Amino acid sequence: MNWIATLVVVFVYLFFVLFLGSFAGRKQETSVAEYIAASRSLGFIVMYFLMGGAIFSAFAYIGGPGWAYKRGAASFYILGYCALGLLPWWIWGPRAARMGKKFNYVTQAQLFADRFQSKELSVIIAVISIIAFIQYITLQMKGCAYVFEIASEGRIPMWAGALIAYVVVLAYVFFGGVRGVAWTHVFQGAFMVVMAWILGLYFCYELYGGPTEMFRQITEAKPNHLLVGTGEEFDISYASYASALLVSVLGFAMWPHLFMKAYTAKSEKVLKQTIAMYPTFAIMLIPVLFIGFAGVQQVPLEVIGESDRILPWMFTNMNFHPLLVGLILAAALAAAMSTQDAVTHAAGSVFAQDIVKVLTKREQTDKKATWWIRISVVGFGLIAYLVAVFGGQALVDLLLGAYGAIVQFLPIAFATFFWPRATKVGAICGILPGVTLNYLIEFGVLPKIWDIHPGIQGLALNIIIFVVVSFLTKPPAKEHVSKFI
Amino acid sequence: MELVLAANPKEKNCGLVVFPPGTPRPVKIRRWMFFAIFCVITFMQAFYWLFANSAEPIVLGLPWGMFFVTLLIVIEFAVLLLMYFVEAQDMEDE
Repeated sequence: MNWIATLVVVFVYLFFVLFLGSFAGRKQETSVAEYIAASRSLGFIVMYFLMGGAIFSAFAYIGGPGWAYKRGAASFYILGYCALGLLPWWIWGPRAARMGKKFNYVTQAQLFADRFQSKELSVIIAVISIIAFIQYITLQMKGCAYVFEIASEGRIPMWAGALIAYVVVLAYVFFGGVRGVAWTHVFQGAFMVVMAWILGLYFCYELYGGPTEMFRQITEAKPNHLLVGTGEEFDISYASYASALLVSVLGFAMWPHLFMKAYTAKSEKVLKQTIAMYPTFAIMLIPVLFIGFAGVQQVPLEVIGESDRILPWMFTNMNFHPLLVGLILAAALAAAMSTQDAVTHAAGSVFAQDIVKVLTKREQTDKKATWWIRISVVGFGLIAYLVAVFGGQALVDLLLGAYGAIVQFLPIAFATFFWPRATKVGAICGILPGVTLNYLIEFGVLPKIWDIHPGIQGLALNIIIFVVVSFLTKPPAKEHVSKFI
Repeated sequence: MELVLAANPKEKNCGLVVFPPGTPRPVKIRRWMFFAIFCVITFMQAFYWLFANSAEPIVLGLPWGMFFVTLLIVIEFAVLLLMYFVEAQDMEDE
């Protein structure tokens, strides 16, 4: 009957998040600027967790220990990427925020489309974003479903587990908007960090007497586990470590759900504080990797099957109290949900603002526009859920390469703020082949050169075409582009 | 408002504009400096295996590679804080 206690804890957590998220935005007026950008009013603590929750995804919490356990040193990449990811936002964030305030933007594509005077660009960016979002969400949903499966000892099937978590997310995104997302992140973020430290250090000290002894034993038994580029089965090559890190750092702030958060901050100071404090999240991730490393000497991969199962295997075998298991699982759920909500909110906003609003001829009232966003949130949620649960492996594989696609926005962002000569035709002619090349390499149609991340290869092509075509086409009006510098 | 997009006025809109017109020279130098430091840190992070692809020695409970990665994060954090406080003064001046 232990599973009932565990499940109760998980549900208490869910109700609390639902309550917090739905009530966060209850006193605010209904407007697009409030729903998407919290009326440009968020302070430092909320911004910090809003951005932090987005990186503490199911990948970090369940996948991170899995990587440390199976791939060893390759998992250090997660730390580096988390610490550096928001850094380029120092360049984009404050500029985007200033423009947003001046011209009333609430999404990323609005800024770019206005700079390049192009509805087509708005739709292209929106479509690329939404395709990438679906892949991202699918991962988080699988993470949630997995948590419920463990909590109920297999009694809650995949489709139901994913559904429960997603209905909660949809509910508070629907009612609370970005304010709901932000306040749930404060709670989820703090909760996750505390649980991660308790677990990581507990496993280390209980099983080995401390991290030094743990790593000493790993080095003795598997001398190559803590190295990269060894050519062993699950290790990654030098080139793929370096290029994966670079593509993540360049691409991270380009994700629309993160980029557009620049519009939510109260001031430039708050934005910069958030970026300056962001590396602390990477430090907080260290114990998460300890969980995986602690498992290396405990159980071989063949026994647990999938490396993601290392965390549940550990606490099952150490006979944790069911209530504690509930808390651990709730923390894992918090990690997955805090990414899911931000992405769902952004996807709905992007679809309604950058596709529907751009393509409809009649002017939308603020109330109607907000209504459209809410409908899009639910619609996107439904599609993402169906893909995650019924899509099958083939479809999920097809949706790989999201990061490589998102990083293709980089030349456009750069040109918006720094290169007045860039033209609309150049931007469109660059981004389309860039994204296409990325996906073609990802699906194996074209070979991967020297194991370099497909996103970097796409980016190179993208930049070359963008620059050449821009110089070949008529320069944009000086008065217009000078607004953005 | 007058806007100079390129050094040579005959050249129409072709150069990069890294800083808004009127940015003082010391501010430009300072920003380039921070940019360069962060580029170095990013590349060291990406190519950490050139410097520290080793499990030993174990420092502060972390294997050498992981310690190196963490050290880079701490340095990055320190430089970021420094940059924030320097720029915060600018923001107050405005």
